[in-house]
Amino acid sequence: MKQYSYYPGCALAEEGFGRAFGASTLAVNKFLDIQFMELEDWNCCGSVPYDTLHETASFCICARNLALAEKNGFDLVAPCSSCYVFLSRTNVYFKKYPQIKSAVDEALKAGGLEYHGNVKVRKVLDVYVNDIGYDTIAAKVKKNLSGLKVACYYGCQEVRPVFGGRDHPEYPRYMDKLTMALGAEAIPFPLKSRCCGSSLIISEEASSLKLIKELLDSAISNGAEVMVTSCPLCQLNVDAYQAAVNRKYKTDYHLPVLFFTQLMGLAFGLPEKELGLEMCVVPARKALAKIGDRG
Amino acid sequence: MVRYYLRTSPFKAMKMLPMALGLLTHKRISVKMGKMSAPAVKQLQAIIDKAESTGGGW
Repeated sequence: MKQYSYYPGCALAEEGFGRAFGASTLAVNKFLDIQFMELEDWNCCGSVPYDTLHETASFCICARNLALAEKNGFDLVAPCSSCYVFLSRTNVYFKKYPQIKSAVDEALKAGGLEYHGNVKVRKVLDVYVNDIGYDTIAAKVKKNLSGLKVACYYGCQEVRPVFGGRDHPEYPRYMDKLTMALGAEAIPFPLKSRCCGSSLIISEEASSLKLIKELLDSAISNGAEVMVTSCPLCQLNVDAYQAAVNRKYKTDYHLPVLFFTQLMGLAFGLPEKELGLEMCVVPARKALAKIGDRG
Repeated sequence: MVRYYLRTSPFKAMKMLPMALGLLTHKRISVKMGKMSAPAVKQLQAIIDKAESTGGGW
């Protein structure tokens, strides 16, 4: 069994808006014989809002999570793209800039902790692709997904190369290859690493809706029946704001947006309830009706 | 989010109600919040206090 420390972050926590990502990830892990051990008493990564308020403190609260993970001795998996970026950035800058290391060391000391820079922060997609592998995953597929046209949407955060991402930063392929390993068809999707507007949807709704519309336009015009993503905020924006896009632009989009782990769970024949499919605002049932047993 | 809308644009908060209800019915938002243990909160507060005393950026 492969073991990792697990940082769910606020989105994937039990009460978070992306809890379907957390639930489906843990269900898939069980099936793949992977164990994620949740950090005890982890804290929010602060994300963009805290970073813009107080950058030093933002590094320090991320470092607390890294220090907790270092005690466990495993790689730290942060499925949320924003958590991944902020934890990775702290990790990289901690080792690269002595003045940041010094401030972090002092702050952690005040809390009775220390960090030595030995944790590797990873995305769940990276774990599945590089530690498990496409062939192993393909061999475990129980359902027939052939003919299902999937747009793989990575979002703009997890592909940033400076924080140690291993996929191509502008035209990533991990999720596409994984989708194909599951038996579905990964359609060409040129906007796969484009921003969805992220939390700007709150303060700059019009600009964000335009970005979401462009994503939907591109995916649907390329034949997508389903979009899968590895970012909880992208999933929320493209899923929950589709009705708002339709109202603003007089469109009629009904593209289900799943987490890629939900698609994996479906391919593995895991119960829908464990995968949190009922949490999709745009219903996925019709698009997924063509999934059958593997003959 | 609620606090943000009430402070910046209460009318927009009203406009967001259908969205909030939609998310609530799909179990996407919760009225409960997870909590850290008291010693962990104390530890985090000590870290933040120290960090904030050193200045904001670089």
